[in-house]
Amino acid sequence: MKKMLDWLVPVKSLAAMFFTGFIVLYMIIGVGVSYIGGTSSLDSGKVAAIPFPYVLQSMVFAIVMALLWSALFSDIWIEKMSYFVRLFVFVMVLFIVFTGYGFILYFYDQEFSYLWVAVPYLVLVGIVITSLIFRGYFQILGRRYTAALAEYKE
Amino acid sequence: MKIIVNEGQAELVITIDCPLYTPQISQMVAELRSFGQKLSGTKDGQTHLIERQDVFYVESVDKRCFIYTEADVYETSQKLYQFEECQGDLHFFRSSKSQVVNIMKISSLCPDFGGRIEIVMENGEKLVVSRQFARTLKERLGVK
Repeated sequence: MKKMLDWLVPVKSLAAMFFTGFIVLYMIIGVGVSYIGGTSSLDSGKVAAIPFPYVLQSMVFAIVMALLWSALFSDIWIEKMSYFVRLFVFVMVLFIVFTGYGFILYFYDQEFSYLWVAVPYLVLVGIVITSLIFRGYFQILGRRYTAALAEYKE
Repeated sequence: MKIIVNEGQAELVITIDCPLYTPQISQMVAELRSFGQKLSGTKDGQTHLIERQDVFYVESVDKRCFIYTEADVYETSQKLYQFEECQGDLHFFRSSKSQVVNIMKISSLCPDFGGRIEIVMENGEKLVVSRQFARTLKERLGVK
């Protein structure tokens, strides 16, 4: 039971964090798009609302992402794997999940089908680019560490 | 550093006269203490004596402790903390909750996300130093 809770509590916190991220993202994008389109509720004094299907979908995705993150990053199932490789696998799996989900929504002609493809793609591409930049920096730093190791050995 | 050897004594006594007990002196004392000592480990039901300098790393798995050399794995009755206490002043360091690594057998290092350090051993095996212990390694190597 303790082991189960040790695993479940961080997953729940992570899912809550991802869910918050989805809601914040919707608000930012919603405000941005409506402002560009000239239909901003901020100007007209209308009350903006987040549609329930989006909230539900966000919740499901947040749980999926938290479970996937836990599987890849908690060292319970996978040990001794580079963080970069884990991140890359995480992003790739999400690419597939979001694309699949976007297609399902598209065929059922549901709202937000484009949203579930375009926005996560942008975020995931951002993660990949940032990771690659950091990876390059770490390799430079690694060469410095290896030089220090050679000195230590002498 | 002067080295004076007095022959004809009843037993071997090594005295170090120094102005200050520095980490280098501590290292020297640890090496002298463990001089000639070998580790014992079992493999295929046979007990083997292993030179300390041949050990790549020691790992604890399910309350059992294993010594890893270049190509072999030996089980030892020694606990990881005992190993760390005994070898701590030498070239071994704690890399994670379940591992003690020989710095002299590391081939290269590379920082990783989350403050961790990925290390490649001389036999090509990759290990990860957790964030908790990465600072200790950096301090020992003299890098920030």
